[in-house]
Amino acid sequence: MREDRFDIVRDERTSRSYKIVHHSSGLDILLAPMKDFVQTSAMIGTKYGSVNNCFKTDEDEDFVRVPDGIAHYLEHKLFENDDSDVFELFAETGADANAMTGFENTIYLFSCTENFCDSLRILLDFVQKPYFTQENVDKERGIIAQEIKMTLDLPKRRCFFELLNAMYHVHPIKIDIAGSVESIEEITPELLYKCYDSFYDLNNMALAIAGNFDEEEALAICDELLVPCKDKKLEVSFPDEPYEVVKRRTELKFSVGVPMFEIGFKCRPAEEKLMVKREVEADLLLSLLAGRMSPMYKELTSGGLINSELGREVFDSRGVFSLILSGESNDPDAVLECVLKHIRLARENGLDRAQFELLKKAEYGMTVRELNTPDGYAENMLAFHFYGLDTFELQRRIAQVTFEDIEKALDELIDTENYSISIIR
Amino acid sequence: MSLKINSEEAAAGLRFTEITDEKFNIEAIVIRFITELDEKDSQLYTFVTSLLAESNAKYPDRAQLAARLAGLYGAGLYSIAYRAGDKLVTGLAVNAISDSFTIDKENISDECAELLLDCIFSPDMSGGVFCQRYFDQKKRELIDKINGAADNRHLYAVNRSGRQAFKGEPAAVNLPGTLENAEAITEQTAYEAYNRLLDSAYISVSFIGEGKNVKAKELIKERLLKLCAERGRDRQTIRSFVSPSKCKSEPLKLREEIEQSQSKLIMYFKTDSDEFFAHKLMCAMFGGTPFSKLFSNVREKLSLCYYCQSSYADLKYTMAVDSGVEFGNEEKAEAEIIRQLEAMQNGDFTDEELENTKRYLRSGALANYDTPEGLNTWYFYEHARGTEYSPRQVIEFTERLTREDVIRSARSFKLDTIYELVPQDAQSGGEENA
Repeated sequence: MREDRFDIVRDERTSRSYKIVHHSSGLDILLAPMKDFVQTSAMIGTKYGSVNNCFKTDEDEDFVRVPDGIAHYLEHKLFENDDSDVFELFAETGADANAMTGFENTIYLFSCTENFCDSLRILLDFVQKPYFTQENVDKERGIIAQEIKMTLDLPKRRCFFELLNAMYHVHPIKIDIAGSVESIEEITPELLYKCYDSFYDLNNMALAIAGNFDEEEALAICDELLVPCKDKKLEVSFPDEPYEVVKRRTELKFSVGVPMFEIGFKCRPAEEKLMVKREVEADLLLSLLAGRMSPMYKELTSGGLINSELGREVFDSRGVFSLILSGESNDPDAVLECVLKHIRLARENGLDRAQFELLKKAEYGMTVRELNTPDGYAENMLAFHFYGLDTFELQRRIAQVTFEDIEKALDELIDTENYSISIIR
Repeated sequence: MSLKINSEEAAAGLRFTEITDEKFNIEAIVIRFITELDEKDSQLYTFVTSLLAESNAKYPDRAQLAARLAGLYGAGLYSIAYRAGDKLVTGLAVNAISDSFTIDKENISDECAELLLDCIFSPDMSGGVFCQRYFDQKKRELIDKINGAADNRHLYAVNRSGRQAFKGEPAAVNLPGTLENAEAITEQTAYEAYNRLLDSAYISVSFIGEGKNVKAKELIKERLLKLCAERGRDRQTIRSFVSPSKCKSEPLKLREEIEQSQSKLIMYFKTDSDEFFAHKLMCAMFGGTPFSKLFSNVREKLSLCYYCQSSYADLKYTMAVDSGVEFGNEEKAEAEIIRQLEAMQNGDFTDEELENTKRYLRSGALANYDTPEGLNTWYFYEHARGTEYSPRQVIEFTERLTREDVIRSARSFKLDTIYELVPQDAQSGGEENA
């Protein structure tokens, strides 16, 4: 009989459920068997991303500021053990392994159709065994520099980061996840160990497994390989971000066929526990304002200001919340005017209640689809767990949200004086 | 596993494929029109299908159609367009959550099928041609797309190099097409192309999902059988899209410049051998896995790039190697890529590398069973190759391959084209001016 505490998370409507085991090592383990599937997907993540560049533990007298891009660099380097490359280990099990660093999290994952236990062993082993030397850290610099340069050739991505820099004064969200060719020059094995020791604490991490696997086998491997970490009293510091944007307009030359634009409305950040609620409201609000059914979209397309694509994104993170519209236009300033006009009109005339009901239905359909693959299920469980929520929270919030909530969000979220536009032409 | 697959040539020029598995919670219908790739018609067919997805006679306003789709639990209705060997595949598709997952177990699958048929067979017309409402917008969008072909430098390099590698063959046709042809499209020429497409295309329909949309399938089948019966003459059934590309007698080397930060290097190698399974395995060992020759040497040992990977276009018997390298390192990367192919040709790989790659391919093939998209793509390309193998059958064939098969495969590939897209100014990738 296991002594670890566990919870069963259940979706009342569909009766789907998964288990959260609070492992004695400090790691939370999320388990969703899907016996009809061939694949199993496992991902272990830490609440450590590119924005966590200033922190302290009980070993530090003061906060430490580390170079931009170090979380991503660490992710690359963790794939190398003292005696082997991790990809070569996974090659022996047939698993497809990968890793990704985001603004807030770093995730290591594999998916497999056989040898699940061996692959889980590799995953749990290598994330707990950093091996950084001057030589192997230097070797990686050229590869990451090329990754950074590759992204510099993607104008849409550059337009997005230019927007973040126009909106945010000091919040590290405005820094590219991989850092810059210059900033990665400052990264040393010692700094990598410092970051690893601070953030790769099992209490700060979670493991999600979904697919065709045996729960007991998975937990037995966790019992064997997870090494409890000492709580180092990690504290993360973020600078005070002013409410106002830095500047309303930024423009970059990059010889594109049709100018690209990103328009961002900077909002007050949501409290962590209300993040999903806010996201749902903001997402529906953006759809009502700028989706294919909206008068704004109609005017933008029929007037020839944009082609049929108008991207919508609720971009949020700890201390960050913004609503972004993006697309291509020969006259991005006219697009901005049109967007501002329709927000004002929506305030004056109100939003469309019938469309709200339709969009709610569409959102519900989207959440059903997301949980139909082991990859999607594991990813969802992990992402919501990092916010202290379960993966069915989104469906619950969508079911609960009212038209009045969206009307209120229109007033609270969008400040038509607090926006930026980024243009690439 | 409750997977069921059934394919039938329902009429001359019409094929139905049903892929059902009760574990899926969606139903998707894909209607493909398959034609020869051609500089002018391919652009028109792509344009027309994109226009059909915007509205129809019942929902002439885009907002009305969007509202209808939202009401069907956010069903997706979209056009498709891609090349498969020397063929053009265009068409429309719809997908939505299956009826059993709707809140009150509503039937939405029939309505999705009807909507799809309305878009194809009852377009929004005015004066006997396509209505101008969205025609002008989509035409402008096409022109913007052609003008913005270089926005994504990597894709631009892939397209530019492909034109050279397959010069003189239909596969060299660029999908957005030329600006001149795009500007010449009228409501009349588009409508003529629409009729030509319905009249001449080989039609391949796939139903993928939970499989409870029985009536929806009937609706689609009935309408397409009617179309085929009405077509003036029998259409040839396409058994295979395979059209090998002949290797140039001397490799072609091209270099173009553009404003960017990093050079894009693409190399094409061609074979005249039809040992498909051996080529797939060899290509994966060479540069298709995170432990391949190219990954381990060009990226990991020499730190020359972030990505350097090979892929095998089986319909053209062509392997492409694709990489992004620091300006000035192009020659070094090329030399190393050639050296690694020579290593494959000389049998300079271990049995472990061979077995690991087989295992990797096995896992990848099996993963197709878990997604409707994976199975849809798998069986479409099986048909394109003129075969009907399941992922498990292909795994069996791959398991039987020996190191000699891999060496023979590697030796059959000859260098055809080297394409470099280099920065105009190696120092900058953009300049702030405001």
